[in-house]
Amino acid sequence: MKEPAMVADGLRLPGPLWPVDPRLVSVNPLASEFDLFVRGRTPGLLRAAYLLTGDQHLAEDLVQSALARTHRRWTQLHHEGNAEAYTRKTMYHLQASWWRRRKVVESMPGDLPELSRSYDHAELISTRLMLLRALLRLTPKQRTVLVVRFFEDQSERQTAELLGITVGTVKSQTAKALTRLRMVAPELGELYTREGSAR
Amino acid sequence: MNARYDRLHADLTDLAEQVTVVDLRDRALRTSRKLRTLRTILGAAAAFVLLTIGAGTAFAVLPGRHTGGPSSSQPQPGGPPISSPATTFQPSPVPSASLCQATDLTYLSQAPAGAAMGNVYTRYSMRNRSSHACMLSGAPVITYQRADRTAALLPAQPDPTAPTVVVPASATVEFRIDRAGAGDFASDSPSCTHNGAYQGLAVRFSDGSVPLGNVGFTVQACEEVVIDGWRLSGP
Repeated sequence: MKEPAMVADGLRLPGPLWPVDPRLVSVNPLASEFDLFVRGRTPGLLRAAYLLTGDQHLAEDLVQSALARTHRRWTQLHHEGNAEAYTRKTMYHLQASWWRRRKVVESMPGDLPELSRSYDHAELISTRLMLLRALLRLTPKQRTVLVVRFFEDQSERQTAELLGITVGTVKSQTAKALTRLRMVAPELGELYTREGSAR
Repeated sequence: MNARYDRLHADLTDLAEQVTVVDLRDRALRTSRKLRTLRTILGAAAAFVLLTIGAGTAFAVLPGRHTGGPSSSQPQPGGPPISSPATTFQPSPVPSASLCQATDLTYLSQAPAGAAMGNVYTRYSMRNRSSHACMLSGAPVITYQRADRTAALLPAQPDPTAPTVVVPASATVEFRIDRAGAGDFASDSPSCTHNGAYQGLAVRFSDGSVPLGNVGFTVQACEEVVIDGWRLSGP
């Protein structure tokens, strides 16, 4: 899933973990390295944050907070090449803190907006809605582990390092998350099992 | 990753694509600038406190002030032996130190560490009263007392970058609770701490809690509360 290193304006940056929207990569040669970093990484961070929070505005707040903390330590982080990892780690830690979890859960939309249906995309949209509803019914910790493991494609060990928990906790939380996912959305469980067995 | 979860990965990716990508540069910089300003104020306040302590220490060790009585060789309350200048204190890390317990630490004091633009910073000091070095890792876990006298975790963001600190015997450590006033966050934002009275603060350890002098604070508007990590503050 990792992409090769990105080169923007002659500045070589560590490769993003998510596809980068080229429209958001600054072409201004005077743009600061931090600007390039923010604009290059924001799409990927927002996608992960959206899965974590289930809400556009909460996702923006989460990424904004993580980026602000990264900016405060930018010189050191950029020098060490750790900016990406630091930002992601900060974002997950912020999301995982108990108060944030509680408030995110409290603010989760109970009724998701109905999307316009198209016969061509009916199944896709249906699956998307089911998955979003199911994710929001996981505990924040389960959701975080699920996103890191299966959206970011991180190994159990990498997930443990990123979230600052043990590998055993990652395993148990992953199992619980998948079990709950199948419980709250049996259709999804069957879908993933069927797909998996077909591969 | 197990191939059976490829579909889950694909669905998560598809769902994540639903987010609208916005440019957060200005918002991040604005928040960062606010935090930097507050850090500067804190730094100035800390420097002032250190200078004050330094001046007090220098005044205390003036030769003319040494009375030579039997009690002069006893350690002074809240400080090192009078014959030991503060500048000689060299905390030596002990890699094998175990984690600090509630029984190791005693609460000393709290002090304002800066306030501006609706932001309040408070520093809390504790002393390792045991005879051995111990280790503090990450930001402290803070609890408060609810109305029914039960303890609950303080709704705050722990500094994810808080370092591990080895606390020599008799050394003093401190941490800070930063309360940033109304910021750029919506009232339903996770960064906005709910209004309420958070009294009876205490630091929780694996073997119990150390009360912070029955102190607390009240949140009246959207605030972001951050618990900074431990740091050595000298003897």
